[in-house]
Amino acid sequence: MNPESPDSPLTSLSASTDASDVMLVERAVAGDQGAFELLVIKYQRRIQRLIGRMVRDVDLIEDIAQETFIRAYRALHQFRGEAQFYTWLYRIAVNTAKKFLLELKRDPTVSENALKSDDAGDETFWSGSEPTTDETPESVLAAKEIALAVNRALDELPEDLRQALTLREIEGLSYEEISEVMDCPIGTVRSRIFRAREAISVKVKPMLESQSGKRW
Amino acid sequence: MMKSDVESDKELVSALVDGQLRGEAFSRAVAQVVEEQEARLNWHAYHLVGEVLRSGEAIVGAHELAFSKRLMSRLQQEVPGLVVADLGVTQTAVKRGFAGQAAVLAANDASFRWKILAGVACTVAVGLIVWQAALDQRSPIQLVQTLPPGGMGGVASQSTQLVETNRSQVMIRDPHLDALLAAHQQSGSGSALSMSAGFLRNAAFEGAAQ
Repeated sequence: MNPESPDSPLTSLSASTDASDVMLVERAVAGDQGAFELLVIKYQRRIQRLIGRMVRDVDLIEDIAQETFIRAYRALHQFRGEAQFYTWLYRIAVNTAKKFLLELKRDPTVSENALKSDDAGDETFWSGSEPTTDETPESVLAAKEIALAVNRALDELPEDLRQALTLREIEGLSYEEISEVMDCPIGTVRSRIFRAREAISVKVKPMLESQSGKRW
Repeated sequence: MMKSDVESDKELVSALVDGQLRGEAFSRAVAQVVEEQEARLNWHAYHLVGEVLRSGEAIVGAHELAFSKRLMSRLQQEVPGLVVADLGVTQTAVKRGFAGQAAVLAANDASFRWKILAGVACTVAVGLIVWQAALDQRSPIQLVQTLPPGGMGGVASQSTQLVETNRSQVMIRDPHLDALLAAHQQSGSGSALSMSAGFLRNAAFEGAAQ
């Protein structure tokens, strides 16, 4: 499944994160641009990755991603929260990339496949093993190492922390539902999820920092 | 065991990632992530961990935080008053800064005040044009200025009349002058005046007889 697709597990976590996005959008529309920046940090990886599958020119990827978020910011007041924020953003990114390709008269050989699937409504055609033009051997290796480190750190967690984080991130349960499943107060759920995340992040952060300065 | 403030703040960010905060707690967490670099890194890392757990692969960009910095800087250029958290500037500080710059704003700055001023000026200009056009629409006109009774005998109506002869010309008819010309019609043709008078160039017996 295409991890950038609006239907992918990356975006179908739970209604609570959607509500959080809507609240951030509302704050951004009200003038709190910091809230918009949180949305940018949250979604920029997937947007850049999505664009990287549509555009051959690596140098264009960031430009298009920037343009995507700027367009999104300008149109933010039009977001009604009827769809997921990422679904809305996904459409803007695809349209922006199409516009760039048309303007630059580039050969959209790679993008045509993606856009055709997009037009047909099947956004999940992408195979995870398919090589992409934007990835360098270093970035592929770094991504694998990070994924490995995350999974290894998850395995090393105490059972209660691992279960809480798994129920939240993979099963998409709310804090209330997790508290029922684990038979503990919501405050405990929140604390366990935080400690689990923190334990994994400690292993991952140095790897993220070492990526600094390299092409993504 | 009591949690430290740092731990509490991190936990707040974690709850924000899960969309579990509302009201004051939500605002506090957002402000924290916006203003504190460490909180921003946590926001970034917590999302990344979740993405890896859900998809089995990492989506990594080397310049992720630099990307958002550049984007917010660009947005700041396009949208006046935009707060760029990465610069460590709070909204209040930015507002103060813009207030301090108010005195040196140029007319072509993308300032809302100038736009309002230009709008008002345009509205006034359009209003004047419309008013002028409305005055023109009122002609043909016939303004009658009534003079006090008395004056020259034999004149039924002592008034100054503006009579439109056609759409573009208005001739001033003075009943006093008409009466004078009528009284001296027998004395000769041509101008009733013995000397040239530029302000009465068109006055003649023929005119009065019409």
